[in-house]
Amino acid sequence: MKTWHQGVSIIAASLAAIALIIGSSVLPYGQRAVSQIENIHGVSYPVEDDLITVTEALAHFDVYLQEPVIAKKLHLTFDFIPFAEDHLGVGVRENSFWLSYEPQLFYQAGSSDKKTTALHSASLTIPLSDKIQERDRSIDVMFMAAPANHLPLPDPLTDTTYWQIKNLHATVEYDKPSTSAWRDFIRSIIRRERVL
Amino acid sequence: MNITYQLWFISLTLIVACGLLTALQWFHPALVSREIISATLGVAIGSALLSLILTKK
Repeated sequence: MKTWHQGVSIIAASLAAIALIIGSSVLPYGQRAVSQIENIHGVSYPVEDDLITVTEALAHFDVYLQEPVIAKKLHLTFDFIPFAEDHLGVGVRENSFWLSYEPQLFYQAGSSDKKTTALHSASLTIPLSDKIQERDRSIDVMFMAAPANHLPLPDPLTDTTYWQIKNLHATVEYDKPSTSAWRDFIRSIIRRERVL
Repeated sequence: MNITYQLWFISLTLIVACGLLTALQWFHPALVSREIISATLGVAIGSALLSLILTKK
């Protein structure tokens, strides 16, 4: 009877230790490192005077998190020059499909300004709880030169994209996850969802 | 409850936790880092060794 009682105590204490370890890993927040901005083939876009020139519809970079995505949101700040682009958006990869981004628009050209060379500032917040995370805890972020409901499929021969970006910073903050985000997160654990 | 028994209890608890954390990492590699699993195992082994030393004294 005593051994049985000890066994139950050890298992209960183990579960409490795990809850404490995982719970404490959700608490950290602050600025996180970002990779270089690249095209979808992994070639970095040119940098001149801190300005990165994006010449394709898709521009990818990684944010190196130090914690799981659950209960976190990503805050991106950057400056950009849109030139002749009509729409610019950014999204975080959601599942194993390589183009599973739901971009948030941060720039939409008005009817009067067809070519804007002025420096704009953007500040966006993206919930992370339902996003996919790589083994090294990084997340994939993609800039898209297209309307939010029209993901651009790359065609280098006809691509006329041209815009510039600088001072890109990423921070993570606590974000209370929704019920569906919890469901997606638990499902991703059970299904062993991986970045393909 | 003496200190030796408490150290054994902590050691066993952390070894079980280590096994469960490893299983969790297999399901979702980003959920638990290897460093945390290694640190947990280190504390478990340290606790077991200390308990052994105290038992022999």
